[in-house]
Amino acid sequence: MLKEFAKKSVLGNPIRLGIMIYLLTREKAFFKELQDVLAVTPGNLDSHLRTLEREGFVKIKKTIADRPRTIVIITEKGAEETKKFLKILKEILNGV
Amino acid sequence: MEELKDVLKRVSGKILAVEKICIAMNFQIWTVIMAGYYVLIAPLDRVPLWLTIAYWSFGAVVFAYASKSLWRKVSMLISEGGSGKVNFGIFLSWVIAALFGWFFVPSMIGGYFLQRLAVGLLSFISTAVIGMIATIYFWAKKLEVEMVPAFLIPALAIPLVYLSKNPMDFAGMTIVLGYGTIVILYTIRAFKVA
Repeated sequence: MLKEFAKKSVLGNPIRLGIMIYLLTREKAFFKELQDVLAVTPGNLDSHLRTLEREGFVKIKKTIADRPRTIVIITEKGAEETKKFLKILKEILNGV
Repeated sequence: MEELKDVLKRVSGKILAVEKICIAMNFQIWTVIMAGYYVLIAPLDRVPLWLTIAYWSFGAVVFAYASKSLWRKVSMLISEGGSGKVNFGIFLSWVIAALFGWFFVPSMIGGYFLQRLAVGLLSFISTAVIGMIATIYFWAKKLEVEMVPAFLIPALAIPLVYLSKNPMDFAGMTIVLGYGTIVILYTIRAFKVA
């Protein structure tokens, strides 16, 4: 049941879920910050972020301060879906 | 499976802790602005009206700016099905409370001007906070128990306004006490759930 539920959702992937949980408590984060926290390669992180962006869960922006940086911002839809996912996950786990 | 349950519990706790700290910071910003006013007027024999208007206008702008991102985070964390409803409900609470506290209440009660104004201020804060609690309860399905002193302390202090020599100072400090109390409660709760 847990596997089926995880497969159905974009957030079923642990890295994508990790990105969303991190953003849920911070609202936004730099690409490098996410890479360090989740211990993933830039390519891997970029691919997951593109998936999340496609789903409308995050917005990716480029900023130029002292140097070009990529900033990832959680959307309202992303926040709602993450909370919903965590709630269902908790219910499933409590039922196991 | 137990490990996954434990991770999920810790994650949920961290999210809840962030929510509590952001709410506490919101109230603390306002407490600092209020305290700043009392520090400013303390050495003055008479407080000029322009100073009060200028200070609170400035204070409101500072508060709006400082709490904007904090509240956006809070509404995102607490809402269920869109933060717009929560934000609108809270905005409406403050508007209704302002009309009730600043216009309706002072025109309906006895006492001299500053007493009526102080009762109005306490009624305004109490009503607005009750509105906030109700909004969060209806739209986010959460009962913010920690917020209760912010309306209960000012509400219980209303009869004492008539015993006070400086009704407005008394009302203001009562609100500071109420807000200060809930900041402590939210901080304790944040530590407990984190």
